[in-house]
Amino acid sequence: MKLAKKITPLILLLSIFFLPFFVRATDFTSPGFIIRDPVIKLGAGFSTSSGFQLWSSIGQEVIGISSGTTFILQSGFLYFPLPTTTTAQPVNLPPPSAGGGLPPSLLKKIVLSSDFNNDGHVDLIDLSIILYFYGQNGRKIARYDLNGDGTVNFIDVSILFYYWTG
Amino acid sequence: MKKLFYAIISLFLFSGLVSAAGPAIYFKTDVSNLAPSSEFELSIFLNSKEEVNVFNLEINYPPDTLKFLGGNNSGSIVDVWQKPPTVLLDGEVSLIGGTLKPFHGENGLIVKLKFQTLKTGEVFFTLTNGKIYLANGLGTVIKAPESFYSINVTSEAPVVTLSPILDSTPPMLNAEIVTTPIEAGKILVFNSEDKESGTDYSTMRFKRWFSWSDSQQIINPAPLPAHAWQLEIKTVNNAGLETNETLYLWEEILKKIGLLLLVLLGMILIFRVAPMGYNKYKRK
Repeated sequence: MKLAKKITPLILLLSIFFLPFFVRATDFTSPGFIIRDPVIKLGAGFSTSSGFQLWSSIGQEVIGISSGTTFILQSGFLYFPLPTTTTAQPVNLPPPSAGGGLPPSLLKKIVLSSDFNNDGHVDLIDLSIILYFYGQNGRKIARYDLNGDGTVNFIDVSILFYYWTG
Repeated sequence: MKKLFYAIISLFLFSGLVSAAGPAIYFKTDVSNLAPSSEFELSIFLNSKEEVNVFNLEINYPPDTLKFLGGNNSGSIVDVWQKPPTVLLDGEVSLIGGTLKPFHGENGLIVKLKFQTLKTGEVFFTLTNGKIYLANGLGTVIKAPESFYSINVTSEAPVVTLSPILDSTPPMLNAEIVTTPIEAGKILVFNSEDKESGTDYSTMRFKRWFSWSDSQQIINPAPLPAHAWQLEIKTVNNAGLETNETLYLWEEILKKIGLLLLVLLGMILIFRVAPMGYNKYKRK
């Protein structure tokens, strides 16, 4: 009984500290692919070019098999058993909307917010339009005032860059 | 029929004239003959009679003869860069940016590109893709005419190096945390500027708990690292002077304090209350 008295607090303490180890990661999904058990590496960044946008993670992203109709990504840590499936050769690229696990509806909303000429892209034309209204305020520029602070300023241009699709 | 023919010809001629009078890009260097292992800057200028505010340029250079070292934006008319001068493919530099105030006039410096000569030969710089956007609120694009420039790299010429940039003023840095309008995420927005020597690069490091992360190079805007409560942003100019700014994420600080309090409370409960309950149970 004495032993039980000593052990009970220890078990409770250990259960609190080890609880996070049983938490499972949420899968990333998009119409083009699913990433199982993602592990986001620390120091993730945002990379962008006229051709692509990497919204979140870098380095080792998954500890399982990520597959889609066009590819299979096999990776893992040392304890992961060697996958037996053969590597599929990509036949075409994933759809442009596939990215970072953001739901397509949200992606569409994001693009619409900064796509001033409604061509489906946030690009140089939209940059030229927002810069034209730079420094202005009032009702007529509400469409370009992306953070809603009443003025088209550097923050709005930065938000447009954040949503850049090229 | 003849009239229609002349009308079409006139239209072509007229459009040609418009294009010729439109914005143009040209190049310039301080030296035209230099030896291998030299360093030089290629200045890229914009001439425009119409008001313009955005450009997208692709410039080719021979990668076997030249090594791209980076850009220098001192004295530039450009206020916002979508990304710093970047090598897209080997031998192709991409420049995308804009001006907060519409630009019109001559000799508007866009950027100076730094190169190192690797071997002898004639070096050609070519503007392969030049799109200039009119500041008219519509984003009208005008194609800039192709532009060429050449220099000679010969072993007879002197070795030239870039003189160190003298600047005693550190760069200006303004940074803040902004909420994105759609997904209500937090991003870091920063504006760095140095009129004298130009900004070289910016970095960010952060604290999730007690220790600093490694510094990572960033461009505006930058996503915030998850669960970070303190950020330190640093901008370095081309003279090596730096400016730092520290930002705190109060939401995350409160969360961390709450979590620590919870753990503390849990430990108190475990070490104080649990034995009491056990004794009560034993007495029964």
